[in-house]
Amino acid sequence: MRIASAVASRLVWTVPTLLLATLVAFLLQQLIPGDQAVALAGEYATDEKLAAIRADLGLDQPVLTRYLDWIGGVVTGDLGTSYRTGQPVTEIVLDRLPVTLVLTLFALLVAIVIGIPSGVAAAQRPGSWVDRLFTTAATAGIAIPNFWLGMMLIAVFALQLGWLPGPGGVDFADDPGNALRALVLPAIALGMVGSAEICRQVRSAMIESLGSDYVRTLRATGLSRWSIVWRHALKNSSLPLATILGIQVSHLVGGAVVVEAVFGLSGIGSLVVEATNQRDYVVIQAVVLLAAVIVLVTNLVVDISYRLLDPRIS
Amino acid sequence: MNVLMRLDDVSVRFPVGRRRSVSAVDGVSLDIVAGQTLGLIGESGSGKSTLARAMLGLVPAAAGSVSWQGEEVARMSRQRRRDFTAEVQMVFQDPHSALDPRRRVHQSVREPLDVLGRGARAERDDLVRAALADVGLPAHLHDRYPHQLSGGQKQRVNIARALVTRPRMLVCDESVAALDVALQAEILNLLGDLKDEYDLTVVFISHDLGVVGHIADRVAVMYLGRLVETAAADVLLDAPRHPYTEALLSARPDVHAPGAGDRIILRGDVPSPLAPPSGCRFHPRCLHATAACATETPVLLPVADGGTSACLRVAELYGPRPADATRSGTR
Amino acid sequence: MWTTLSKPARTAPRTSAVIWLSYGILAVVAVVVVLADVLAPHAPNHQDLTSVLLGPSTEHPLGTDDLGRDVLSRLLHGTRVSILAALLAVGIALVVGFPLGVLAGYVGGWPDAILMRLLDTVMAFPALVLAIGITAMLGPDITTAMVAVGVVLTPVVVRLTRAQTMAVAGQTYIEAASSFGARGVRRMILPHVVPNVVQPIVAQLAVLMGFALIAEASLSFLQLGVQPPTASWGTILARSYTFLERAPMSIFVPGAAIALTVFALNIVGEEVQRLLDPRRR
Repeated sequence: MRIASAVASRLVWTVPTLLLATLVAFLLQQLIPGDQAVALAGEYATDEKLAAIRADLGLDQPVLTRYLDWIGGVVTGDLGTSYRTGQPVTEIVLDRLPVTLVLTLFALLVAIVIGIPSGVAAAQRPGSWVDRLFTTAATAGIAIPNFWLGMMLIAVFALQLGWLPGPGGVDFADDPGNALRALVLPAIALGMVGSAEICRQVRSAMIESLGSDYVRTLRATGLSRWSIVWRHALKNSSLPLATILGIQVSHLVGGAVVVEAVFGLSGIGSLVVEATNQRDYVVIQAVVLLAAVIVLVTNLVVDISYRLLDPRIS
Repeated sequence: MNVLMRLDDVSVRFPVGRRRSVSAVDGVSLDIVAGQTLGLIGESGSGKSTLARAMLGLVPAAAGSVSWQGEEVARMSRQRRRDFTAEVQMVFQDPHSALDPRRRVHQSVREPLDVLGRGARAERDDLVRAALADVGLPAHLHDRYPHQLSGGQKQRVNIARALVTRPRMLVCDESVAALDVALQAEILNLLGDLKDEYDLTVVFISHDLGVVGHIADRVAVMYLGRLVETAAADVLLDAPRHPYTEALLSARPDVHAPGAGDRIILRGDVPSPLAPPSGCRFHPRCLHATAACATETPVLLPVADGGTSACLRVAELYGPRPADATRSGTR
Repeated sequence: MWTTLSKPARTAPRTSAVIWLSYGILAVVAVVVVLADVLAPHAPNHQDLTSVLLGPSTEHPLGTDDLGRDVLSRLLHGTRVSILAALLAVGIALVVGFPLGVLAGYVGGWPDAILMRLLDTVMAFPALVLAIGITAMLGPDITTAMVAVGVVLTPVVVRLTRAQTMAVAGQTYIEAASSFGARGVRRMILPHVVPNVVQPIVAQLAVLMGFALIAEASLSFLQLGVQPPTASWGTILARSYTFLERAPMSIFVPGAAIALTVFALNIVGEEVQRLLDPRRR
């Protein structure tokens, strides 16, 4: 019963947002200046092709009709057809999606593995030199553009030391081992900013938590500091933690676009850049929508699982 | 007897959640007589501050009407409404938060004149200086920001701002509650002087019977949004005719009356206005409650000495007292 | 709960050295923006194919790039371009977001509910992806890129302003003002609400500026923002990346310029926020 109501209450929030997101993605195409058919087909398209596009998109019809038509396709998994390659967009996107998902997941791991312990360490003694060091490092970490960090990592670890593969991704199907190795540097480049953000937020949540009466009581019972910090205080600050992870997914998916470009990985990030250069608007639209869907769905999952785990939230 | 403001069966409701609402003020009828000081007393949550806001039209009355000199405020024309705004002013509880932190003292005091568009700029500045002088704020403080003033000085500024439009009625909402005791007396004396000087009618809202008894001519007692008793101040202090007033009086620390043994202690907390008790709203805490009190709603009825009381057992408990010849009320 | 920018619940402790260093960095950046023409030893786009990829020398303090252009001059001019572009984005977000935030926070009710719903939706898109989407549709150049970044930042400004406005609207001085008839934009919003809302937003501007700078660099790196040959931090990095193997250090300086500036902005933003905190008074 609780599961059902938790899922339902979040769905009530997510579904309208998702619908509005499709509207935003659809309306993006209205931003194209000039004749959309020409823009979509390219300047040298034949008249027949232009006519075909106009008919296909229903450009002579009102925007609302076209939206309903388009959304009808979207919910059945049909994102349209690329006017550059003639391939179904859904196919193109699904082909590129795994690389981005794996990269984002790796980066999230990096962010968590670095971010949480450093945030916890900084929170132990607010104002101490450890705290100053970590918070200043975190502020610096947020300031470093991920694509620049990626270049530096390539320069040092790929070009100078030759430890890890540089740019130019390896196809997963051909050589899974090397493909994973090729994701190490991009994941670090992408995850570092996230780790800095997590560090800052974990720090403030932990300071709050460690200063609570509850923790003071635990201290009085003689529990070890280690156990108080890791088993009780961190658990108590896990609500902000869940929120932070939800936000991080959004940041990482956005950051993946640039990091993929640096490392030559063929994910949806480099796809959207290629599509922009080729003016393949249907693909751009699909990737933008997909990014929002990924963010909304992960947030939904994080939120529901959190509600199920935490008895305080009903 | 010139009635300046008449409240007729005024109710104020606030929405709570989606379909429910809470009656902060429920069917209050009250006359405010020109030149008098009316004390409005009640515990927190009794609706006294909401009633004050309804007097100024800051919250709309859900039912009933507020009339100013015989004219219903809600139906006033724009121009009349502006005049009314100038004639009825309010002094708020917390002197600090009632002043915009980013405006200098003289700017804050001048603002009502600016809003009402009165006179030329130079005239306004003269009025501001005069009002600030009347409340006793030295000239060198007129350019200060609120955080540079003490609590007492800030409340003087608030009073000056309320007086700068030359109002006929001043509503003081717990205007001394946030100050310490020495300052309270100072501000109360100032209000007393200003009342004479400006020929004011004052509505003084407080939870402190001692303060109200000190400055009010008449007192109205509120409980959970309703009036339970009105009377001349000295009569009410001397011989309350409602069990709630009696309890309030008894709770007052009184160094002069040694008979503290028969102090009435109110049982329980004030019930939630979201779900007010049936019948007489005071019955769950009343020492004299009977079965009828839980079902029958008492209305405010005249009692001796020109007062009114809303208690079903008023005659039984307090008796119809003969008129008191030595009364010193200001009627 | 969907924010593209995160602000710490508690500001971190800072040594004054870090804070002064940050003020210093921002001062240098400001000087460069104003005096780029004077400071640059060469024209930023002047090519000299006889001296490509040179190391540092007295004539070219930071060397030359693959087209023989002076890297220092490009960096100085690029700083101006990048900073002005970021200012444009933040300006757009502010001009659109601030009034909307005040409106939503002060009026409340259904206009607020609708606006917040829309903003939640915009914030559901990863900021950079949406910015790329908008830029791609409008046709990539620096103006459209910064408009796109401005659009993405707008919900952040609205939320900050709205929260602050709601806090101010509950203050007694607002009720006091309405008690003597102050209402509307001229008598209530401008004199009482805006001045009390504006200050905390100013502190956040530094953080927004940092985000806009990184967004500019990212979009320009992807060739979606500033277009070559115009120098900006992003285009310089994109160019140096193509000859990374021959001159690995050439990526260091422009990247460090971004990182140091954004770092300084974040530190100064936190410091301003701390100074404005009413609890400090």
